[in-house]
Amino acid sequence: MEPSNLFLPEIILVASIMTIPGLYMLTETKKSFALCSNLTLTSILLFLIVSWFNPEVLSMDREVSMFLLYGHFKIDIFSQIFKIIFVLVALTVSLISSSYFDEDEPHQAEYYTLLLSSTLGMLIVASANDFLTLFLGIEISAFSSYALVAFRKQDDKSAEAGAKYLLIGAFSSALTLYGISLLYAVTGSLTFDGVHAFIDGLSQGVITGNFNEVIFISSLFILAGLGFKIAVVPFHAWAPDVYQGAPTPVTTLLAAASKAMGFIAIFRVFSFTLESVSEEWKLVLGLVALASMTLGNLAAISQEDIGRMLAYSSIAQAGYIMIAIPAMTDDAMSGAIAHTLIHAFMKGGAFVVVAGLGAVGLGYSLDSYKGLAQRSQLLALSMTVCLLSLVGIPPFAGFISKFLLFYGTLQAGLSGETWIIALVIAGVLNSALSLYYYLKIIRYMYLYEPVEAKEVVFPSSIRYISLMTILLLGIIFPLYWQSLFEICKEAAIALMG
Amino acid sequence: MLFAMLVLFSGNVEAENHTVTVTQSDDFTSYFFDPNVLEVEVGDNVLFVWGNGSHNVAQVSDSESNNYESGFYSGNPQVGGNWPLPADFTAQDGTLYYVCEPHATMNMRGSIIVGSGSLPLPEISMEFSDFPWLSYLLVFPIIGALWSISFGNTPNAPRLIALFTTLFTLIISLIVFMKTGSKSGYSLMEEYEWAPNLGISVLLGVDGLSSPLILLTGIIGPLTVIFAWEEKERPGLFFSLLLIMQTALYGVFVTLDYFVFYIFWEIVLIPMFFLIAIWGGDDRRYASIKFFIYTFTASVIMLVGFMALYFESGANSFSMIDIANSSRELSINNEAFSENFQIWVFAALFIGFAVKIPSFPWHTWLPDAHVQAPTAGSILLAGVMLKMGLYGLIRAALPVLPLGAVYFVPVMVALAIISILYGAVLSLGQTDLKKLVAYSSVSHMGVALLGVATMTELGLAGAVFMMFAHGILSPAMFMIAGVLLHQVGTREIPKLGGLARHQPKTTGIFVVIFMGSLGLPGMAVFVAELAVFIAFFQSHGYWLLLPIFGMVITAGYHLWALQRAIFGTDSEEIEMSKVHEAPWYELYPMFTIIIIAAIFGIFPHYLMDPINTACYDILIFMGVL
Amino acid sequence: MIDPINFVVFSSILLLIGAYGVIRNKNAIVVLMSVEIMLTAANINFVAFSTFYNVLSGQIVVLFVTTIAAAEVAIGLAILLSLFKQRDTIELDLLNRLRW
Repeated sequence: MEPSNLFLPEIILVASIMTIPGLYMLTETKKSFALCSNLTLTSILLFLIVSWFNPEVLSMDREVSMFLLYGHFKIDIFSQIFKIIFVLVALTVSLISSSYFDEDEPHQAEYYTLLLSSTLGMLIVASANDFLTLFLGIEISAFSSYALVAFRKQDDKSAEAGAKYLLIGAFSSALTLYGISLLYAVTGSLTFDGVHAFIDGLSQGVITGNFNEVIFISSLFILAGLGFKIAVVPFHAWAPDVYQGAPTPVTTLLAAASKAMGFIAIFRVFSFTLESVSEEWKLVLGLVALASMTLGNLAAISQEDIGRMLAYSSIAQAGYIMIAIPAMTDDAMSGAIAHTLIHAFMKGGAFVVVAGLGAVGLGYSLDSYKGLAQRSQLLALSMTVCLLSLVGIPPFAGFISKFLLFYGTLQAGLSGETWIIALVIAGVLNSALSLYYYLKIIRYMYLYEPVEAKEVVFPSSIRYISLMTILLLGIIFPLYWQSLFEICKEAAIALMG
Repeated sequence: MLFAMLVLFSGNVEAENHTVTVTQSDDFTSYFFDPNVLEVEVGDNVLFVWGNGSHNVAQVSDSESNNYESGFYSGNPQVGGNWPLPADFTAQDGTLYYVCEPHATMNMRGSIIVGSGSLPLPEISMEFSDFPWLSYLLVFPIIGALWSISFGNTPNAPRLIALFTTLFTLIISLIVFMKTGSKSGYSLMEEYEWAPNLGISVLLGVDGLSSPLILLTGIIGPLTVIFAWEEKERPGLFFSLLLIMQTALYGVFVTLDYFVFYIFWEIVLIPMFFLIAIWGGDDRRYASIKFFIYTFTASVIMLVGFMALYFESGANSFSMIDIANSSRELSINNEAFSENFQIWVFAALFIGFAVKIPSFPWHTWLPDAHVQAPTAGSILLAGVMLKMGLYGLIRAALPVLPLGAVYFVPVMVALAIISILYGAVLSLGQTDLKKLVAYSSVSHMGVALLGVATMTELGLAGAVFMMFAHGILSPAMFMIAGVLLHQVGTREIPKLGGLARHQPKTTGIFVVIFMGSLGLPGMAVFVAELAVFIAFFQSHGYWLLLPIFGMVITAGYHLWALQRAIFGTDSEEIEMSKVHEAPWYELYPMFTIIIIAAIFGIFPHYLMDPINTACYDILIFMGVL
Repeated sequence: MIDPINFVVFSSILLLIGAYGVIRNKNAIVVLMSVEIMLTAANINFVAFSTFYNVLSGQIVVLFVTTIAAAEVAIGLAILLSLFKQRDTIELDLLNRLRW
């Protein structure tokens, strides 16, 4: 019998997705939708955390992967840790949305429904164990976020961003699907394990045939498709527009959670399924990583809009994470997982502050950050911690995850392929380059006078979340990073088998 | 301990007796010891027995040398008889070479191989402490910082807290300095686990290299606070940044773990960035960002070097001691740490350290940062932060990468000499007193780098002494610049003049400090320069003329600046009626510095003893002595 | 039985047609249509190899993908419609408000 309570998060989400439209029929109070969404996400978060610490209560086992739905749904430490992050980000987004949107903002029921269904898609991706489930999860999440990006129909930036995101997203998912179909043509299987076994057999000579070119081409298609999701060069062009145009809570969801979802897909496909033909795609991924971090950082320097700047910084961060994939070792992969997780916190925390400034009407240009420290020490400090984390300055959490990332990758480079060392050095130099534009914001916040002398009061939800960000990134992760390392290592082992 | 037990143990085993016959063939054609190569165990006895002919036994330094200098000696050549080798010589591993003096040129020589045949590798002694002195050094300033910032902008409380905290840490620093003494190896050690899977722990310890710098940090702390006594702008934040800075600096000097070292190294940047950026001069924004990016870029390259060391050592530990030990073992056995690897990694580390030193051509951030920084920031920057670079070089790079260091000696010498000359010449051309002092720092730290580059005990010790001396005197120079700005209103040397008549006490102190900084005998800088130049002459000969020429220029610009600014006719550009003596909180720190500089100039051995021990240990460990 | 390579060639041609349509077209609706052609290309692969390997999984994928394509068009048209209401155009070259 399958332990169906493992399925509980998804079931609660689906139920809630159906409830909110029902509520819309019953009540006019807009607060109720936010409340419903908050409650749903909180309960799922509690469930996930409880099952994380007490796996035996739910007949789970941390060491062993569990399979549901005839092996198409896999629950292991790798999937659980990302599920926690997704739900946490979604909860944050849900909390800040109620202060970001006005009381009379139309279509709030749809907004929260879409938010939850986007989260559902991410949870499915985290547990997907075959290409079809993966693709479905990505599409569920993506469709909801297309609508979320274009949510403010009256705002033409929002609509334009939505249209761009939709067209590029549809194109990229078509590319991914074609890549999957080519893999299916070669292997006749859709599950990760099946494809992995077949390709393993090919590389060890158990199965005869020369499919290297086809596999290479299909991996290029899949990389192109998923590369759009995580926004790496050269598939990044949509990100700045969408991050700038979308309502900021939605941007938070995209930057923190959607990106991690793309990375899960990349990890599952490249680090596990196509692992034994890594010679084919290694170099391509390395080049993508190099281009992504360099161009992302260079483009970020000249940005004047905070959303665009953080979008380019996101592109650069994706590049850092990508350098671990060609390394193909447990340590490198655990570094990549750690940085993906911490990146969700750092970017999420930064966008929460952005949303706070947006909510009180200060705007989104870099100039609106001038003198932020005089308006709110807390928000300025939170932004500073997030930005210094993004650079990777000790002792903040970003330094630790970046250290683990470069540590694992450098180890792989020193013990084998020397060109990976060049990637690490490029990553390190890029961190120094990125310092310039992050410091610009920090200087604006602390050293300048506000442009307009406007008294503002930031919403309490934003302030509490900022405080949490400071505590997490500045104190908790740095102190307990041994556990973070262990968890990520377990996750990497669970992922790579 | 273990070693001692081994010696005792082997002493109890039956000592074997060996005999060497000292003789010649009957036809006088060959002279020999029989056996000419003798292998004995530690503690064995050796007896020389004379055959025919007149011979003696004299120890020589190697298998080529013919002349007795020191060691065992059987006396004048004799005919017949026995001579037992004194037991001391077989008490430890090693190879003893000896000859018969009259017949040494006819190749009458032999050797005794004791034990493994080579001197035992020196162990780094580690002494853990019962009382966590070093943790107190790290924790107290942080507590003071939190306390001080909680008072916000009230004028009195933050400065009192800061003064109290820094005085307290000064006392602890003194205790640490005393307790360390001139013992060999690390003392007062503490270890706290942090991330055992990666081999990272907070490993603290002091030796003769770091204890002077800890003392320096301790001394500079209260002086900075007193000098900044009247800080009006956001005093709570200001003093708490000073205190955080102190913790970070102490952290750099007491950690013996590469990872934690790096973390403190980077934390230093954050308070300094804000000190320059908030309280700095007109161009502070540019200066602060240049400072941050410059030093951060260099130090991330250094981090890659640290990680490479970690992986190469295979010890699964970031501890400097463990990595140094395994570096030595692995490179002796040719398993890892090849010369090529050492050169590359040394280059990476050297870039990280050279930017902080700062050495030409990476010095350009320094004048900007100094000119824009508030005086308190300059004091910490010049007094302690610049010392991190050379300290890191000696502590983190030399023992682990001896081959790389030796390879880079010519580069270091060249950079040091260029820094000395270039810094001195640029100082000559400056009109802003603060910029002059900044360039003179480049020149002085060049002298220290030159000392390191000699790779001799005297040179290294001179370099560390220079770090201390410059760390004491350059803050005083910056204080002068600060006093001039406050009391006279400008630091432009051409605009000053004739101050001596209007503020005799203050300018008297100025003159002494200038003299100390240019290397007047009796002050600390002189001792350091002398040591470095002697060492450099021994290792590189008449190249010494170049740095000496630099010193001539140094004396020139100091005296010229003094003559223009303090003496001469009254300047027309300043209102002399408004010029008063400097207030107590500016005079006392400068006076204290003069006293300290004089104490260590007249009694240098207080510092030199611990420094010498540590430098000797490091060089022995590297195998260059 | 037809050699499966023919299906791959056919589907690649379809994919290229679709990709060309996406890249060269200025009208958002036509771009959406081109994406549909690309999805069809993938579907042909799935169906062909499902028969070739004699497993049903490929055909199941096709059912899902068809549904997804329908949903995609629905959302796409909705977003383009709201854009059209504001700007009276859905020419992609004119979507240039978001630039630095």
